[in-house]
Amino acid sequence: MDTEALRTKAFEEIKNAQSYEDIERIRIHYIGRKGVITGLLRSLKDLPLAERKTQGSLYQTLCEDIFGIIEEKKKSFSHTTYRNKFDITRPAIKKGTGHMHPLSIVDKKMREIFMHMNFSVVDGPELETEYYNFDALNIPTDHPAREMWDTFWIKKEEQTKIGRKNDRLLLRTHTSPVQIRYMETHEPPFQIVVPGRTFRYEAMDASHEINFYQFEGLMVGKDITIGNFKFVIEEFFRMFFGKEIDFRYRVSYFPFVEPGLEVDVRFKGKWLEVMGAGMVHPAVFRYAGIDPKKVQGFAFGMCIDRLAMIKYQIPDIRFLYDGDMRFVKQFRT
Amino acid sequence: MKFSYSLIKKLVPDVGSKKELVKLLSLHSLEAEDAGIGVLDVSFTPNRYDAASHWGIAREAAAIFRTHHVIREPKLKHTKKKEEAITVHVKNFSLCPRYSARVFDIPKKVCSSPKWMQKILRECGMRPINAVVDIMNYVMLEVGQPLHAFDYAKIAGTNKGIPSIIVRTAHSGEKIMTLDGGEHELSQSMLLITDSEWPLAIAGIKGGKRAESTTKTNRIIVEAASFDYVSIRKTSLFLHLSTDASVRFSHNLSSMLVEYGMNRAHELLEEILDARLVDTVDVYKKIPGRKVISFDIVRFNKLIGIELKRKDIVSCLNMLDFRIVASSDQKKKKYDSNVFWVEVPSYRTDIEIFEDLTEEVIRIYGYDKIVSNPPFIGVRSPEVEPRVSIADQLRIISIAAGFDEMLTHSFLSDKKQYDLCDNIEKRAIELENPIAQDKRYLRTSIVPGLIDVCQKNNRLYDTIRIFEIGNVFAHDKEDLRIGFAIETIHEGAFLEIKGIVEDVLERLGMTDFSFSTIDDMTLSIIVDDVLIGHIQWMSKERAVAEFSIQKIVPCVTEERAYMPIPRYPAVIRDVSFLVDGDVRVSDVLNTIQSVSQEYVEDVDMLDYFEDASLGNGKKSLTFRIVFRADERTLTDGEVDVLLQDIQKQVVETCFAEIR
Repeated sequence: MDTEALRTKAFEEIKNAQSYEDIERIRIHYIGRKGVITGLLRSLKDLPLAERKTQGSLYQTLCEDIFGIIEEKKKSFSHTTYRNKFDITRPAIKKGTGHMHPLSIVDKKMREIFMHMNFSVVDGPELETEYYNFDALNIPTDHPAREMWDTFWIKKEEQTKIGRKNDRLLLRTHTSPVQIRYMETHEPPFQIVVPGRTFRYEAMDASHEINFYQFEGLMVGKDITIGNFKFVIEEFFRMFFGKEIDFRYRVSYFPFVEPGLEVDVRFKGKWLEVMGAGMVHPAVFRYAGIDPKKVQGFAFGMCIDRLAMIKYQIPDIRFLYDGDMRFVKQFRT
Repeated sequence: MKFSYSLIKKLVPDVGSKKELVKLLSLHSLEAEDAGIGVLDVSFTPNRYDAASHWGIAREAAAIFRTHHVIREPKLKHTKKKEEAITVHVKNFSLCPRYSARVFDIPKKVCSSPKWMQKILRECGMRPINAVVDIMNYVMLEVGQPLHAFDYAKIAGTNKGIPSIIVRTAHSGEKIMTLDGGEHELSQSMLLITDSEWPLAIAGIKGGKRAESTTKTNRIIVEAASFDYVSIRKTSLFLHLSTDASVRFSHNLSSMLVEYGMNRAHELLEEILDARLVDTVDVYKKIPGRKVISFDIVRFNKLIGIELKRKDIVSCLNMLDFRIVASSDQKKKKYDSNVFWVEVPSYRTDIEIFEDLTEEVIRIYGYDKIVSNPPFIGVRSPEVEPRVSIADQLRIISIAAGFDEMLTHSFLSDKKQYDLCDNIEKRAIELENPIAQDKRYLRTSIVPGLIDVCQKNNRLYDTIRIFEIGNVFAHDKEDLRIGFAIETIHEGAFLEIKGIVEDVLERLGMTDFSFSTIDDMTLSIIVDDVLIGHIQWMSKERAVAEFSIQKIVPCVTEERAYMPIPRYPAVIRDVSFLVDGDVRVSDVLNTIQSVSQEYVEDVDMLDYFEDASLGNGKKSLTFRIVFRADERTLTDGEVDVLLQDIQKQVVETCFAEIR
């Protein structure tokens, strides 16, 4: 077979090919399984040994050359002539995920930051006793400090039906009762955070709701100080709001801490109240069955709703609970 | 509470500007803010009503500006009794630990108080009335001791005609008309000031109309007393009566203030009205003793995380009128230069223990001076309450499956509520003091709140998929639940709800769960033989589900063992049955699975076909059955036999026809 004639013919055909299908047809014809040149290569075995080498290399070269030209031709198609009938600019079909509630987003972020600092996450009941919500936190009955928390009380008759005749029941006004519950069953040193829903008897408006979420923290050990408290929460707020924030510490009063203080944070130029805190009052340690002479520690409380409202610039706390889905659907995790 | 800046400046000459005062008070003492020209507003925490006066703010200001105040003892002209003009009987010393009364003759006509006093009264939000009343109010604002003045002539007495004042609890139903014309009916525990005949005033709260002093009064009785704060607070709340006096008395005021208040009023009455003392009575069982608390410098530094020296600490304490004293205890113990004794000023009823003193020191020194310092802790993996971590996983899975998370109130309006999770109607727990009539009861289920959300939003969205995680309440327990709701104009709400429940349970690693038919609309969800909740068809457009997260905590297995991939191939057969419309898919499925369980690996429903062409309301169900043996390849012949058995069972049990 005249390899030169074959070469010329093949190159001509390839040059004139109009589509991928044409090229493929040509390829199969010449160098496919039953192709012409493939056949020639197979026929080498019938040739005398001396000729095998020369003819073999001729056929091989031809094969490679044709393969090369075919590849080049294919490349040129992808730039010019290939037309996909499918319109790839059409809008996407999305499976769609749901949306996390902004309070859950913020709660999760807060918990993660504290867990990275080795704080464990604990929770407790929303329906609480007067003992854990007030008395054990050094807020006795008739103490003027009780006016700091407007409480939802459970009807007295219900107490027997609930099987707790001797406990005065209420909806917890803060997550602090869980501090006592935890300390009753765990030996220091430890550090915990307690997120949870809390309740206040208050007229609802843009900054007040009857149920909202608090985030409590407690760290107790042999030598935990206010200096340690500052470090921990400064670390937290920097991770939560960003590094460009300032802190301000003011004296304050809560019956379950002494000294007591409040923390303000300057975020985007504005000073914001974000936290109440202090060193755990010795009476509280005693109620929890821990000897205040052996340990000391700090406790703090924040309102998750408030942090969410600051972070996302939500103007009205009621948006978080009034069931308008357009609100929740705005949030990305 | 409003304060006159000019009066504070008079008491603390080197106090800073009003702006500086407001700023520093807020940092070191009490929250303050600007309240107009010459006025600042201070908020008192329940423990610091000792400072609810200009003297109190002046003391704080002097300490925080590191300067002195000029509060001095009142200078009195006449201190000797002229004659016996009044008797005082205190019937209940626990409710009234101290009662002091002074009788004054007023020679001048009682007209207006001086302009400087009226100005300060107005700045503090009070209305000038006449000189006597104004002096009483002014002393309350300046010193912090509420005072009252009675018209001597209107007080009845028994003993030789001498007016007598009696401090006693009211008789049940006893009435009094107060200065503002209002009438109040009192109960047994309320404290009254009376004369020998009638009530004169509701103690510590409001004076009666009967003996009010007017411009015509020429002899007055000034009352300065100390009352039990619990009693005053309760009475004030019960009668819905709150006054400047009752607000102060509702907090723990020191009985030592009685003296200061009375003497200052005495001084001003002499100065402004030429008043002349006639008689003075001071009744009390005992004077409160000195409070001395030990202060340990090492303990202080250890608690705060700072290194203060004795002189810094003592300086802060001195600025707040705390004195370092000798104590008899000192001699008993070994001398320790780090420990000293501190005498608490009599008006600081809030200081009881060492920790209270530490706050006094550090708040004056400055919280900002404490250096942030990382704590030393033992390295330990933090733990998360299992309930919380499972709730987190449920949340993530549900959101990934296209559900939006909602949060609703914990209160509902109905006493009887249907709880989907337990599938029964429950009587809800009632609040004693609901904020509104439609929020009287605690929720027993998450679902009503979700249905409400569907109703609020269904005009905006074709399809609503929502869930909520939260606590519900019943007489037997508080439970953590997750609820789902779907409302859609397209078909399939119920089957999708079923799907999400399956999805979340599977993703949590639950291998052993099933649904059981309760009735035409309700399926129960059973995990590891425990009933955890229900799924319910509500309408073509809406379906709901709810289960207890609490209950699945013990079922969630973290570990998944490797399952060997089957060695031998399966044989798959499809089979269709024609059944009556009311035959349930679960019945057919259960029948199929009950036959030769050993070799039936899986059964899936491929098709559910309802059409009139099938006649008589019948439907066609197609199932794909996967047959596999663990130890060998099943032959077609064996599978044929098994299939025949299955078909025979289904035909007999479900009255089916093979298609």
